[in-house]
Amino acid sequence: MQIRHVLAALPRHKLVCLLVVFEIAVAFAILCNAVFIINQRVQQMRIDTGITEDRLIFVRTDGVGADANAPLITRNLLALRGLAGVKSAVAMFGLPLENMSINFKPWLTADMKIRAPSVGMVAGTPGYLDTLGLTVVQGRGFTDADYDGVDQTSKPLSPVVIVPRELAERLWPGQNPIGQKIWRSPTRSYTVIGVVQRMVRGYLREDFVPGYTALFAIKPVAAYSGLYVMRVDPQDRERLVRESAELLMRLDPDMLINAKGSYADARADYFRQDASLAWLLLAVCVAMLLVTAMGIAGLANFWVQQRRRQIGIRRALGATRRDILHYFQTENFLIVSGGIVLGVLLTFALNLLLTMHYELPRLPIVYLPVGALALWLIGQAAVLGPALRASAVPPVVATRSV
Amino acid sequence: MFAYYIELALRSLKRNRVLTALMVMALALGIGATITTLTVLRLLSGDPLPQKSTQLFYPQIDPNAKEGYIEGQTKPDSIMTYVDAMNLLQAHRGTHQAAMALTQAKVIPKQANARPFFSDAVMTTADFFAMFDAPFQYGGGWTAADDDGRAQLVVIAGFLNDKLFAGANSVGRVIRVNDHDMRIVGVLKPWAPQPRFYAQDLGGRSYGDGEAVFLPLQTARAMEMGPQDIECYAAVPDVKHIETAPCEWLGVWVELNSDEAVAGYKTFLDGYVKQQVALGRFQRTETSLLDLMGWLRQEQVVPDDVRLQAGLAFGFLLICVVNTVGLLLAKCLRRSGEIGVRRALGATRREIFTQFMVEAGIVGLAGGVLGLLFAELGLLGIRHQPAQYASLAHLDLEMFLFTFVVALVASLIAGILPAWRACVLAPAPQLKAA
Repeated sequence: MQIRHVLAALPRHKLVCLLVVFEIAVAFAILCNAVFIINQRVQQMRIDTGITEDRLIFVRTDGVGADANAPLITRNLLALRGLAGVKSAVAMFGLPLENMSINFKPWLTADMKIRAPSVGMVAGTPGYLDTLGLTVVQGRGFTDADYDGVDQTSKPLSPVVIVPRELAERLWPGQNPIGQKIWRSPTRSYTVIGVVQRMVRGYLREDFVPGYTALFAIKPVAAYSGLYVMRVDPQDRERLVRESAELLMRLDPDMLINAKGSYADARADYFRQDASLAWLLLAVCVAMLLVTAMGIAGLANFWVQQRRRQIGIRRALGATRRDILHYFQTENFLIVSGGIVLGVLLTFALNLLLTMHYELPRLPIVYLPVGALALWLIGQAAVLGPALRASAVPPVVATRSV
Repeated sequence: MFAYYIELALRSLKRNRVLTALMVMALALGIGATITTLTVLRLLSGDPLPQKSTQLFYPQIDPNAKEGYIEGQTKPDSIMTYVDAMNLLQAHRGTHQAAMALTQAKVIPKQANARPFFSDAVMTTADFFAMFDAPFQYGGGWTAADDDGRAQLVVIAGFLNDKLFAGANSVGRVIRVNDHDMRIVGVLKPWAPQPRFYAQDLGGRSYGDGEAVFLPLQTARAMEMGPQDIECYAAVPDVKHIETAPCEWLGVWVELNSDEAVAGYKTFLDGYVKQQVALGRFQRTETSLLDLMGWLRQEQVVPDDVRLQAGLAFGFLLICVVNTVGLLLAKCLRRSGEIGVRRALGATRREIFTQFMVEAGIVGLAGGVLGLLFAELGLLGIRHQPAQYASLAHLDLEMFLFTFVVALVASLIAGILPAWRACVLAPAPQLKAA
């Protein structure tokens, strides 16, 4: 009954109705897509790097220059291990999300016919798997004999490699990865001796799989040993960052420290731009919903004032307060529903536009009912005040001329 | 008459303060968001060298293997091998031409207790400064002979001169770069094209203060300074000797002053590539010669995030305008009695229309003033973001004026519908109803 009344009355102010329908449709389309983008960013920011993040600190230096100075790295590591609270210290390259990475596409056969997807290179001095907190889940870890230098093209000389499970399953599905080989040039192959659960590369890109990395064993060398990573207790992090940097500067006054800090801070830095975009989108969404709600409330208020007489007549004819309240709530529900129907079309159009111009997947359908529910709730919340005021209109108004 | 409309409008706006505040607030939020993102978008898509950009061209060729090549579709590479860059330079087909790569220079100050530091550096050839109109505070650039002679010379940026020599004329003095003593031949005035078009694809930053050290390419390479970015298209026998390796790491820019010169250069470039194909060095014949702005467009210098924000802000503004239309319309419909009286007393439709548009305009101006405040707040927020361009985000005079244009246009568009509805109302029924 009620719906028929409402529907009959709607065409009386179709222009304003259409405006609200349009406003809700645009808000719906923006809301769904923005929340989708926010979610994408948040997923990315939550990535599991595979290392024990809260126990690591680092000091990135400009290195020691020539390879002849490599013994200085060993000296620095020994000194760092001497600091109270440092459990272990290594020099390495390829810390997850350190904002740079060396990537290569290994070949899977000696004749160089089959090529693997891009893999991020990780290399470190003895003990670096333990320092990072990586545990070998299959095969064995590196032994001291495995660590060696690098060749003319900066490729590790040591013929063994450890890969994360994700890469092993991609390269050798259903097979035992231990003993498999990858080639980085016709003459340089590496045999897989172990598998770690997970290790993420230094830099994420849309066309890279984050967890495809290859871990090599190297002695201290100029090319890959500028980054000192230490394992410490969480409460010692701040002090040891300061002390280790001071120690390194004392040892080598010409050394340059590019960056230092706890790994957790470095990780947050890596995602800061994503975080700020997510916050901005969120702020705009909230502002947008607020404006939409204010618009609905303003118009509903106006309609109530405009129809005081009709409301009075209905009340005089026996309509209860509840009936009047429901009338305005139903009206709002119908208008918002109209907006959502149009909004679904707009949402898909906007999503199509976004997928064409940005690296963004298709919007999952689940966003639509959730978005619709949100707008229905906001619409009902916005109309509640005016509707209550309408229901308070006394029947006696019918007898007065306004 | 106009003053009377303003008085009427103010009285009407005062009568319903909440509704007025809602309209102004919504419009201001939309305008604030739009102006903030537009300022950033404009900042990022601006012309870095307005006086010269139409004469600067970026030649591209493609030394990659045949596999994956589709004639007419595969774009040539964005950087060049040393061999090709030198061949193009030595042909001297442009008014000026220079090859460049970015690197990190470790500067060791001579003062006691001063720590060494890294500076962004450009290794390039002699024409760089004349071609890009880089202005000198003291001294000048080096010569082509210095390039060939691997002279130990540098040009430093003004800010580095301020830091090391307190801004004094330092030409002839020596600084230590990567453990070599280098003589300063020139000090630049503040110069940092935004975005740094020549750093694009060379692994450098696109915004910010600019590089601190400029040194001759051959000299820098003799000091074993390596490029920031290097792309190899075949198996590399030796990464130390990138001059002969199948690796790309240089950008080449050419100054061409007329259409004939551009056409001539393109012919030369095509010819050069065909010659390389005949020699067996190249397999692909695609070339490209984009001007500066064309190159920036192709490189999509404006980050996706910024475009996304701008699009979002416009969507938001649209909602705000629609919202204002709705509220103005509601207000105007409530005043049909008042309109009826005015019409009956002799006001023409045009006068009613004008009256309502003035009211909308006042809402717009108020929204604009508040929107400007929001935009300043938004830009303050942007300046605290970690992006490279963050510190450059300021509202300029043009954007300031643009804010009011946007506000006024938005509110007038929002006002047209209600004003039109108001002026077409027939006076008699309204008077009767009242």
